[in-house]
Amino acid sequence: MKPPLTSADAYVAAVARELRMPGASRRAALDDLRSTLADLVREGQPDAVAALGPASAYAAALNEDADAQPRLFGLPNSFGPGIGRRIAATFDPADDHVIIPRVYGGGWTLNAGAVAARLGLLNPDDLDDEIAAEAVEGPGRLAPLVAAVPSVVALALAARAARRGGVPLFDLLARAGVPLVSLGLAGLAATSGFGPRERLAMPGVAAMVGSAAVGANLPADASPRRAAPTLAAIGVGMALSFALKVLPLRAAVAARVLRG
Amino acid sequence: MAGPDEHLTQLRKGSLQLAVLALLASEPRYGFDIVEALAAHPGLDVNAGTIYPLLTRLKNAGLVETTWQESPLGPPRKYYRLSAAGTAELAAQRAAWDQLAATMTALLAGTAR
Repeated sequence: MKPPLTSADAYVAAVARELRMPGASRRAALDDLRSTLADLVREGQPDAVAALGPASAYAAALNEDADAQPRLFGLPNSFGPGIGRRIAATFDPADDHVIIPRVYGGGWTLNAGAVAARLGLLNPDDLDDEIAAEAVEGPGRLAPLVAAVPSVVALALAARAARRGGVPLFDLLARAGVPLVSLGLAGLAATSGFGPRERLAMPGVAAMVGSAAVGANLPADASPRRAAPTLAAIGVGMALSFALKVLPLRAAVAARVLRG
Repeated sequence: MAGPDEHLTQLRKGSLQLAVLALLASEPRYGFDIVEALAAHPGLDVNAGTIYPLLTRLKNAGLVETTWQESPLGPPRKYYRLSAAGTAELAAQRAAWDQLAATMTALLAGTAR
């Protein structure tokens, strides 16, 4: 039979619910918390749980430490939970870092918000939850549809390659799998499952990934002339991604100015 | 041992939000104006990268309200003013500050300089 749940267990569970760390660091943080609670009890602290303060504050402090980007061989790597937060980070004018860790996988990506602020297109403090919601529900309504276009093109190219034959199955799965993911991301931006800031950034991320998939599906080899369409697809993706993030916000701000 | 700058950073960390709320008590201000107004006070001259996320948090927490107005140069500016909740928060934080400052002053008065 299980022992009855103590308030210490409930506290650890409450911290665990709000803890964003993955894997081993998460287990280590929760083990530390359990032993801290046990120490407090040993030292005669009458209410060990109360001594640590609210569970949410304790988890927030741990999250702040964990938010330091994990690195592998010097490269930032982003495989863990918190993908919504990392998507939102690709459009954060208040963060003056232009180069930020990638949404998924190793390496870096651009913070379109910092670029727009440096270009004088936005103020660094323009984006908050309220204006993000207005942008997503208003001028940004069409963004998921536009963002889906590159993914659909990439899927059509993959389908054509499959019909022609001669492409290994594993290769075909990769060619179709990536645009399916970006198509899904564009679809998620149109639903209310994520917060407004994530939803505002999602179409841009989907357009970039979809365009890169178009590039990967175009015929290319080592010669610069044959690689040009692939590079052009990536360039178009970057421009589209930037526009899909910045324009809805700018339009929402303009609508606010008009309303006074 | 931390240097004097490090001490100031640590002490400022907890008081920056109160400083911003206090600045907004007198008049509405836009983001860069707040950055400059803070910079005019010795010890509060933090970089803009710290202030802008703080303003966003205050907005999301409902402590400030915003309006946009055309700017003579660049994109429209977002002006911040205290909401009713922000005014109450300022009063509560001011009371806590006064209490802490009095306690610390009394405590330090008993130590040699």
